[in-house]
Amino acid sequence: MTKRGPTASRPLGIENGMTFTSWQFGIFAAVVFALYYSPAIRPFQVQLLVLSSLFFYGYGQLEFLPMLAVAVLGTYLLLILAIRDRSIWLPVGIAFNLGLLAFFKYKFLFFDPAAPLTGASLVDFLLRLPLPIGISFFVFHNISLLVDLTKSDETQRPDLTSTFLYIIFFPQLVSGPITRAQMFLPQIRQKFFADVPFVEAAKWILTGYFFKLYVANNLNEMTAYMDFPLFETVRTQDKWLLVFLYSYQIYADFFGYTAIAIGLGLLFGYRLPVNFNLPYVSASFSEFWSRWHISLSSWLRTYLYIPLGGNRRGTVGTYLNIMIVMGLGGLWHGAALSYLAWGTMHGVLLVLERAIFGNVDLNRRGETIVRPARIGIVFFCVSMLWIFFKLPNLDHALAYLSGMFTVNINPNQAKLFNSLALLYSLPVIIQHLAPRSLFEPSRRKVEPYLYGLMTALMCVEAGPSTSFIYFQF
Amino acid sequence: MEPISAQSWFVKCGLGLALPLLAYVAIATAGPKAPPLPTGRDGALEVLDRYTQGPIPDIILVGSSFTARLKEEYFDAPNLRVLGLAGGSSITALEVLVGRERLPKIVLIEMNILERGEDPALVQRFTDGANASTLPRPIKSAVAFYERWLHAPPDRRQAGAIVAALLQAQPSNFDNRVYVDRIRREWNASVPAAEITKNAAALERLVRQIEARGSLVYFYSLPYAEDLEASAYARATTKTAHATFKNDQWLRLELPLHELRWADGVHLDERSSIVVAEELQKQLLLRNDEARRP
Repeated sequence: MTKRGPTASRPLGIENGMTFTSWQFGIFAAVVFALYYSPAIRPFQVQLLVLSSLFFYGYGQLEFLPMLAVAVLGTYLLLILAIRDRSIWLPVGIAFNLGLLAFFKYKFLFFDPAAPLTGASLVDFLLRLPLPIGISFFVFHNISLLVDLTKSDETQRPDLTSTFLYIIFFPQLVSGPITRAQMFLPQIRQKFFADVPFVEAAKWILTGYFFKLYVANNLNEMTAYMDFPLFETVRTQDKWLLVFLYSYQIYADFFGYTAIAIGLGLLFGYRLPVNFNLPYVSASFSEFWSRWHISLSSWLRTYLYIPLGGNRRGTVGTYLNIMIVMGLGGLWHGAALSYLAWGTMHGVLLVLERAIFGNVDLNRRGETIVRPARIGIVFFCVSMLWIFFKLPNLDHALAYLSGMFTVNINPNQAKLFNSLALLYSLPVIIQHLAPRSLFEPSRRKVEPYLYGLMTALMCVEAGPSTSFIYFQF
Repeated sequence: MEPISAQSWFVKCGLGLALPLLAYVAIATAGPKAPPLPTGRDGALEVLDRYTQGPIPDIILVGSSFTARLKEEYFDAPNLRVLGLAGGSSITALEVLVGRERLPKIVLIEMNILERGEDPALVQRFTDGANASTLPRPIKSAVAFYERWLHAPPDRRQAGAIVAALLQAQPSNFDNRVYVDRIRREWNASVPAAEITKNAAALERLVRQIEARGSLVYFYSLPYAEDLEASAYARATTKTAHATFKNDQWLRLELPLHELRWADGVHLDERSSIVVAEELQKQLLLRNDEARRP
C-alpha cells in the first residue's frame, strides 16, 4: 500500500471536466449541432461555437476561463500590434505565450503548493492554480497565429471572434490536433447542413471511440501494473509485454482522441489536420516523427527547427538543432526529467540515424526483407522509450528498465492474461499490419457493417473509464 | 463501384451494430454467468460482484488489500466470504453490506487502514436498488471461461492439500528490506490524522447499524513487519481504532511472528496468510463458544 503522491502538476479538469467519453459531452455536442444548423442561428455560427467552446472548457474548471480569456485577448492585442510592427511585437507575443506556458507548467519545479507562500492572496492563488487543461495546445495555436498572420503585409487581420474560434474550437482545444492558423482561418465561413460529410465524420468518430473505449481503456487495466510500485510485483516477461501494450495503448488513446476531434470538426464544417499515419510501421525514426503526432512535429519543425537554422548550419549545427527541438519537445509534455530524457533520447536516435545513413533512401534497399526488420527495430526503440512517458519519475522509469533485465523473485507476482492482451491490442495490430490491398475491392460493401460491429464491440466491451493520456499535457 | 449513399451507409452500419448486440444480449441472458477475471485494479469490482450475486454468507471478513490476501479456501468454514477490496477500505465494504437487505451473521472488520473512506461509486453500484446487474463483457468473459478451462481452480480437497503443503514448507527467505524501508519512510513522513479520525467515526456509525440489525461484529488488525508496526502511521491508526471500539470486540491474534513474511513489504505472503487465517478462525471459534455459554 502506498499513499497518493502529489498531483499538483496534473491538469484540473481531468477528473471533473467534460471529456469526449462522458454522457454530458454527448448531450452538449448534440445540442450545439442542432443549434448550429438551425436557420435562426446560422448567421451567428462562429459566435455559437465560441460560446459553446467556452462552456466546454469552463465545465468543471470555471476558474480557468479568465486565464483562457487573458491568453486569447492578450494574443489578439499583440497580433494587432505585430501586424503593425512585427520586429518588436512578435517576440513580445511569443514571450507572452511561452511565459503563460512556463508559469503554469513549470512553476511546481520551484515551490511546493502545500507550503506557505507569499502571504499575498492573489499571488498565492495564482501560484497554487493547477495546470490548466489544454494549455500546451492552445499556447501553440496562439504562437502559430502570431507568426503566420504577421508574415505578409497583405494578410487580412482576423476579427476577434474568429481568433477566439481558432484558438478555442472545442474539438481541438484540449489535446489538439495543433492546427495552423493559415489552415484554419480560411475555413471560417457560413456552413450548411447539406454540406456535412456525415459518413466521413461518422467513420472518424466511431473509429476514435472504438480505439479509446475498447483498446486504450482495456489495455489501461493491464498497463496500470507499470505504475510504481506495482511493477515490482510483475514477472520479468510480463514487464516486456506491458511495454508493448503501453505502446499500443498510448497510440489508441491519442489516435482515438484525434479521430473523434477530426470527426466533430467535420460535423461543424471544419477540417482538422490528420495527426497519425500508422506510426508503428515506420522504418526509420525520422519517418516515425512524420507519422506520430504529426501536428506537433510539423509545428516544432516550422516554428522551432527551421528558425533555429534547420539543416542549413552544417552537420554539427543540424545535430544540435535536432537535439534542442527534441529536448524541448520532451519538456513540452511535462516538467519532469523523464520527459526530457524521452525527448533527448529520441533526438539521439534521429542524430545517429542521420549520421549513419545520411541521405540514403531507407525505403528502397531490400524493401521486402530489410524494411520489416527496420520497422521492428524502430517499434522496439519507440516502445522502450514510452517507459519514460508512463513513469514520469526518472528513478521509477530506470527501476522499471532495470527490472526488465533481472529475474523477479517476488513470490507475490501479479497475473496478466496474454490472451486478453492480444485481443485488446488486435485492432492496433490489424490497422498497422493488414495489407491495404486485401480490403480494397470489397471494402465498400463490408465497411458499414464493420463500423457497426466496432460500435457494438465498444458498447459491450468498453474498459473502465480513464482520462485521455494527453489531457495531462 | 457505385458510391454508397449516406442513408444506405448508416442503415448498414445500424444493422452491423444491432445484430451482434441482439445476439450478445440473448447469449448473455440465457448463457452461464462468466467467472470473475480480475485483470488489473478492478479486483474490487469482481469481489463485490461475487458477493452481491451469491447467497448471503454466515461470516464475512471486510477490509482492504490486506484482507484480500486471506483467501476463502484458507478457512474451514464453508459459508465464509472475504470482501477485501484492493485499493479500498473496510468502510466501502461495510456500506455495501448495510445497503443490502440481508446481512451476514458475523462481520469481521479489518482495522489496518483508516485513512481511506468510502468509495461512493462502488457503494452506489453494489447496494440494493442500484443497477447492480450488468451484462458481462463478451471478450473478457470468453477469456475467463478459457482461463478457467485452462487453469481450473482447485476443489476444496485439492485446496486443502495445497494449504497443507504450504504450511509444511519453510517460510520464504525472500529479501523484502528495500520495500519495508521505502514504506517505513512513507509511513513516518506524515500521518493523515484528520482522515483517520473521520473514518473511525464513519466506521462507528456503520457498526452501530450492523449491530442494530442483529449481526455480531468483531475487529482485527493484520500484523506488519516489526519496523512498520513502530511507524507513526501504524501507531496512529492502532491508537484511534482501539480508542473508538471497545476491547471485547477485538480478536487478539496470537501469531508466530518469526514465521510471517511480507513479500512486498506490507502484504502477507501466501503461507503467512494461511497462518493468520487459521489464527483468526481459532479466535472466532473461541468467541463463538463464549457467546454460547449460558
